[in-house]
Amino acid sequence: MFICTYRISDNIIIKIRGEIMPVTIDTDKCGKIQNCPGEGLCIKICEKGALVEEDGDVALVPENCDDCDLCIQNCPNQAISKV
Amino acid sequence: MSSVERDGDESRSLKHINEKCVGCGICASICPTKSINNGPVLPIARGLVDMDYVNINKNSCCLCGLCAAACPFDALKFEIDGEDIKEMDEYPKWIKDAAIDSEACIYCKACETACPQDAIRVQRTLPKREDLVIGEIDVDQDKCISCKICEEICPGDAITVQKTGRNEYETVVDEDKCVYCLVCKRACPTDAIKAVCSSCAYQDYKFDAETFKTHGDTILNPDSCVNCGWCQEICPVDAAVVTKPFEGEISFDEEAECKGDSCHACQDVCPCNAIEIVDGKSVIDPKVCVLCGACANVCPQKCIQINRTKINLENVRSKSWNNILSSLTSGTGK
Repeated sequence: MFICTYRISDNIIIKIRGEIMPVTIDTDKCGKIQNCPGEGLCIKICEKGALVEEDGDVALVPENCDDCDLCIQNCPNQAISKV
Repeated sequence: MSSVERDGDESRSLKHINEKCVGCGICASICPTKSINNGPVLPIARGLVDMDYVNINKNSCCLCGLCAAACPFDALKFEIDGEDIKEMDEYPKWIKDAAIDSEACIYCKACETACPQDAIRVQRTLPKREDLVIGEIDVDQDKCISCKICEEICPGDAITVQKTGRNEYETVVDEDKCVYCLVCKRACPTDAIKAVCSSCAYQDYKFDAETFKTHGDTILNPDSCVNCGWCQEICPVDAAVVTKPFEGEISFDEEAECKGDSCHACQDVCPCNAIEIVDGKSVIDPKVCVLCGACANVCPQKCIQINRTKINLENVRSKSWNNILSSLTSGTGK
């Protein structure tokens, strides 16, 4: 019984991580790479590869995110937040 | 380099020296006019952006000098009529210090290797090798047949058989390389190698300690030293003595979710090399921490708390300065 409950909750966590982005980028605030004071600082600061450059814009790779919040804390435009 | 300068009855100037700054935020937290702001400390420390750790608002800075007096890294220089306040009797004095006792130092270079700021240089002169070996090798050139067996077998490459003329050779021993192992003597087929043992030949042969000593000079550059205490921790003969700028403790919230390998922001900003990531978590060595708080400020998970109990700053004559400085030791984590 206990093991079963544990497994279910484990699955739910995995499902949530798969469906929902760990962080979101406010496209109004984000300066892309061209207008970012740090020239895409979030991409440079994330060593997990969860934020990557895609056609001059920032793209999220949710499965790489380790929830460290470095991007949230260091975004010069405060464009990154958690859901 | 950020600077503010103004002339009135006195000429006052404040200069920020970015090379010495670590971005700890102490100046920003105590500025009475809120004129100091930290730049993006982690991206600067990682070399991702080319900015200064500190920005000073020239318009609101009142040129009081408190930031310069309280900076534990001497990264702010405040001058009145060209004189540094650190030299003036009226202003506070740090009793933080680091010194290496040249009498006790054995020039092992442990401190030079460990110093995170490259502030220590050890220059040393080793004793002459020939003074340390206990004997001498001599070659009887009359008996020597120049077979080169000794040259081939010598483990220290100390023997060479040199050609001196047509069919004439001389076997030469390099005294600096010879360790008096006597391998040559045993291998020589004509017994041409004479060995003189210093300790046997002269009964009263004394080991003169002075001859065997390594001499040197250990120079600590106070301009780059951050008083972290690495030299003191690592010195095998207790020759290094360090007084840190603050007393207190640094603690790590084990409940908080440290993202060690993904983040390591604390490790990157620490000027003391006091932080290591072990098994995916940040591990702080309090023995070499100066309690500057740079790590606590950059940690996105707020895992680190700084609790200062004492600031080793003396001669703070101003009551208002004392009040503001007490905020650094009130255990607010800042």
